[in-house]
Amino acid sequence: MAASPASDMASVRHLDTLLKKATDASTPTEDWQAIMTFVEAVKTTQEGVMIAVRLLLSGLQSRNEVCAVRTIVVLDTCAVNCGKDFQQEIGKFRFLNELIKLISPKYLAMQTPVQVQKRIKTLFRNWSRNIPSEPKIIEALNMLLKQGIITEEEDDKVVNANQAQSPNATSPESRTRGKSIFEDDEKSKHLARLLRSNHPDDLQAANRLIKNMVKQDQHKLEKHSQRLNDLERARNNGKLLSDMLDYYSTSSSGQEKETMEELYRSCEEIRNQLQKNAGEVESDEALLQNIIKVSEELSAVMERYQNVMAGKAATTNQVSKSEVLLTQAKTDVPLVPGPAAAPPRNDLLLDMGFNSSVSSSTASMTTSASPARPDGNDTSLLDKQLAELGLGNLDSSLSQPVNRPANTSVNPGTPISPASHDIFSMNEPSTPMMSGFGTNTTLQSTAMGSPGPNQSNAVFGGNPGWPNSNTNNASPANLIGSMGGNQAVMETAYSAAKREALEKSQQSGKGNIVLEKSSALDLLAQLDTNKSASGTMSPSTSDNQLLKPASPSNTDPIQALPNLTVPLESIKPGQTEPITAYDKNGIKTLIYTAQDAPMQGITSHIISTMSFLPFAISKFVFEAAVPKTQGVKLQPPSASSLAARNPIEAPATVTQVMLIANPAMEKVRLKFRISYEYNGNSISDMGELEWMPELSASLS
Amino acid sequence: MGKWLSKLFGSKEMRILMLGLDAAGKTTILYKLKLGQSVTTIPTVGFNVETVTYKNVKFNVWDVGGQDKIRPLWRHYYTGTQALIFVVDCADRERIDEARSELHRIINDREMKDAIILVFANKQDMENAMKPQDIQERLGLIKIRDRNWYVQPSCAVTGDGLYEGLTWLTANCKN
Repeated sequence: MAASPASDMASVRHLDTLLKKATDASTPTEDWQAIMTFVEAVKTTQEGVMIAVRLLLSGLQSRNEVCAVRTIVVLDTCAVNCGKDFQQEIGKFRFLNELIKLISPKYLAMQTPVQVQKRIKTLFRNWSRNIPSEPKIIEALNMLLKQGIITEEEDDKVVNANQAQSPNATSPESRTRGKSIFEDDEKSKHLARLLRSNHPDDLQAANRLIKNMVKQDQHKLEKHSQRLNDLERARNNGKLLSDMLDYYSTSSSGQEKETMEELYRSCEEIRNQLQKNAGEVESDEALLQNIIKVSEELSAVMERYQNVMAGKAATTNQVSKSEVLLTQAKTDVPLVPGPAAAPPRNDLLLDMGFNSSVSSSTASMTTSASPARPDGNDTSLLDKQLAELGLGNLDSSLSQPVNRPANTSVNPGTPISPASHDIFSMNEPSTPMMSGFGTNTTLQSTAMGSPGPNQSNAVFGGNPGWPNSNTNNASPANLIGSMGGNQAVMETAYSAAKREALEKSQQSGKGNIVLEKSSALDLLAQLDTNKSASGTMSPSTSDNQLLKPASPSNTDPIQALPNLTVPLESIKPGQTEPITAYDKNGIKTLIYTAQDAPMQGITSHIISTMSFLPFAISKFVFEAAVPKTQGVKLQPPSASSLAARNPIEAPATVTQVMLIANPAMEKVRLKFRISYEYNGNSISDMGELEWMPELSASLS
Repeated sequence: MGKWLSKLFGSKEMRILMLGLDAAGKTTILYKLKLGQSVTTIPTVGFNVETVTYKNVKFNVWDVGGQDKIRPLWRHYYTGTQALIFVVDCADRERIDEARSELHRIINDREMKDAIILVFANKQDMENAMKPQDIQERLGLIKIRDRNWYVQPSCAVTGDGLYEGLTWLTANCKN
């Protein structure tokens, strides 16, 4: 894009006029005639490509959104139709950087309209596929993917949305369904070949191929609606059972009991179906999240039913502490539900768990050889992560020496660093998240977020070689989040359960084929099965004893905290005014203090976050930390996404129960971090609060 | 060789691609031309290809299913196409914009750059059918000056307008 000599001024002006016409925002739709005229002019004008690229770049920054979007359409059309020269020009960093600036939060993303950003992201995706001759495009895309500016799923949708607008695009319908069968490259190529042939047999084959594609698509759609049906059924049955439980008393009639038992059984059946579905849902993140959520709710109701029927619980709503103890230890151990809304982190965890399983099952699994880990390593890694996060100290468990059994130890074949070992054990608390996929024994109320199988795919397919760098990528939130579970007691319990699971899996030969997705999932499911079987109140408990010794009779609030769970509905809001913990960029977080304490030295709070943003946000996570002398536990949030603001409706809200152990009854010092995503941008912010929960709250 | 001979003897061959939204009447047109009678059709999944000879010209007509989900496959038929027949259901006012964007997507494809464009403004027998002039406008054809296009009103069931369309094709095809 050298400065054009004066003699070129005429061409510049000519092309500029044509481009203005092609991107004219006053016409209701794109003026393809004008666009094609511009394309032709670019090709025929001397230095046309250079001039066009420069004009297009400045057009992209137009304040008129429609105009900018149309500029992108023209740009894309040129990329397709203006030949090699043009492609070479847009394949240069000089050009690509300009595009990147428009979507990078560091540069102009805040000023660039959302639609324009979407389209640009789509360009990267499309060009990287369609212009393989320019490797820098792929390079740029990879960088954007790595930075999280472009995300895989979001992008898939956008690609299709854009194709509906540009030439050689696909059906507008396909945008709603993600990548459809009809865009399958393999099949496409095959079809093209058949259609080019003059042989009647080939043409017939082509017809058959298309028919099959349509059939497959139909099948896919049917499956999809079936899954939605299952979901609806699960919701209804769960709700009904829950309602019946509400009104249930010992004096209820036998008929009522029968109905409930029937309902319970049907819930069980649906839950199994949901688990199966979750394993099959591949690219539909939202659906998967839904399935997990409903499945979780269903599990909760079923658990309640069991408790009520067993007469164990006096009141239906509040499950006594001792019972919850291990379930909770197992399920929502995280002090901070980091994994709740952050799938990538779950990945990471799965990754770790998986690798560890591979190594332990390929190792000879001798339970006797159990070299205890030097715990100094754990601590230092976590400390480092903590330091990076800048969060305070919440490591009641960190410094506790932990005796770990053999199976988690070093595999002679695979070098596992002490650090990775430690993460393995941290992973355990989150392993139950996989319970939705695979075997059906229990789906505990875990899987708060969405460990998408599709994501785990990638992970499973990934390197079993366990690159140590992973430990550095491990989200601090997770590290922190898992710490609650690192209590010595739990640790032993987990390890015991896990050891058994791994032994089992090895016996069945699963250890050898874990690289396959399904078996890996199975393995995880087995792990879970074992844990829950040994853990608690699952109906199929066979070896209850296993974890029994693990239940501590805690009286220290900080120690007791990880095992304590307070159902949201049992919390009575207190009289004190809520504290505004955060109020920035359209996100407002309030902390309410509940009336009564779940136990001496522990207060319960409800964190309620509202969004006033004009767009929906996802992967919302609230993380918190307190000083060593205190403890904090966040229970799973009610959701991880918030809808866009709507003037006629109450703002979208995420609620989350937070328990704070404060044995010394001093001021609570809470550091927190809020993170969320919108349109592929990750936002994260931190804050700090100080208040006396027992008394009136005040902001520091 | 065969081509040369046929050229010598004045018979031409044309590859015609017939596209349009689903239920526009493509298959009915094809078989009306081929068999001379109106057949009952079902939505085409895949394609039909027939040779229709008219006025010494052999038309190889590809009638490709128009359901939205299989439209992405249209592009596989572009190569070598000399004329596009785009069929529009003139009674379907709701989807005329959809038809426009599909049409533009097709004709802007590089492989279709040289194809001449015949639009059958079909279902003229329907009471509320849009007139050819409306169609011309609604499809955004008026602005297109660098392409050879023509809107032919038609009624596939009766066959009205179909041969007129073919005549335009023979007269306007480049070779």
